[in-house]
Amino acid sequence: MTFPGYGHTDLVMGRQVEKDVYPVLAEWMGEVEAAKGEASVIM
Amino acid sequence: MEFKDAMLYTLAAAGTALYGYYINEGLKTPLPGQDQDVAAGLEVESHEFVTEDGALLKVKRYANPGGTPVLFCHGFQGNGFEFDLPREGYNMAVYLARKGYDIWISSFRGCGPEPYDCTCNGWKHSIDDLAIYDAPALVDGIVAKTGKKPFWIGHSMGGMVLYMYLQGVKFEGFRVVSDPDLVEERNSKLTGGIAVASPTALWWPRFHPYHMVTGSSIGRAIITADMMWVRARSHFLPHMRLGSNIRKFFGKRPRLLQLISRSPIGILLYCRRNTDHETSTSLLKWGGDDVSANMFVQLADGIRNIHFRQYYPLTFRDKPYDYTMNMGLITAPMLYITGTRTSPTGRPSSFTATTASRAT
Repeated sequence: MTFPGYGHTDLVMGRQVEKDVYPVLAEWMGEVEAAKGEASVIM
Repeated sequence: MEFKDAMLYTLAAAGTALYGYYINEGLKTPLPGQDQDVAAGLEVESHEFVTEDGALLKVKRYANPGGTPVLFCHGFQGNGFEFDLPREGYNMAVYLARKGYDIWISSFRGCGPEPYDCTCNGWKHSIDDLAIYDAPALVDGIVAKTGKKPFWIGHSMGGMVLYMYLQGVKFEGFRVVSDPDLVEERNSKLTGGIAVASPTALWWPRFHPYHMVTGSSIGRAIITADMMWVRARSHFLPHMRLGSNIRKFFGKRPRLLQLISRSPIGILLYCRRNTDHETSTSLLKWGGDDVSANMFVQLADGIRNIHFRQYYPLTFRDKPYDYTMNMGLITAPMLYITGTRTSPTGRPSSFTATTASRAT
């Protein structure tokens, strides 16, 4: 996934990261967790 | 005194007075990059993990027992604080902690400001050591503490170490080899991985300023000479102290630090117009750190050869392990993110091309 106008480290601390980047990561993680379900727990 | 001279002296005096006035006014403004309490209400813990070769890694945790763990791994010449800057709205770790994730912020061996400063064994390590020793200690440690498989979020080299870890690499003497059992074990040990601006190959398109260096014989000769010099000095100066020296000297001089963060040094790290003065100052104050000479040589070798390969001494006679060519071994769920301006000049670069091509 490519973010227009973003550089190397500003993907972590750029002006609008909390609006542009962080939610995308959280959404993807949520999708992976939902798909894996209990598989992410080590018994 | 002639009229022309008098005018010149008057103008010079007025200019100096005006300059002094603005410096004086500037000094009355708040210091840049001041820390904010961004983690109010979160439970902070400190954990320690020991690697197989004896390095002590100190990890900061925003504890959310029951939440899925997330391991943060930093980039070259950085430390874990790049994800945990004390600036409201610019802290990825706190953002995800408030979403219920169990956050683990690591620094690789030799890095991290106090009290999260990690030890290392004489700065003889390469990036391979981070994947072969540090990464398993961190992942296994988190799994042991939480009973859950973590996500790994790596920025730049932190994502490259993730690729290396998932390729199941281990040392056989000076050789790095991929072990099929480790490939399977490590890919099943993570819930997923996010690589933020982490190149799978160090390639720049034609007419890009970096390509003009790496694609020309003179540029390649300069890189080779630099590698030779760092290899030679690594025997008596294995520790390259750039980040910690910046932190030590400029940490007490925030106005000067701000000036540096907006200088060409700053634009090597980020697209300047997409950052603000306060956050870029905070990044240099907290997020910069040191590397070993061997790490530098390994990265420079990748830039010279496009493919990212293992570190090897000059006496090495085998074919170096090629991480770029073994990306296909990765089976864990991955998200690759990058920007369109991940180069010092703000122009699109290989980081875009090589990572976007594998985006999920």
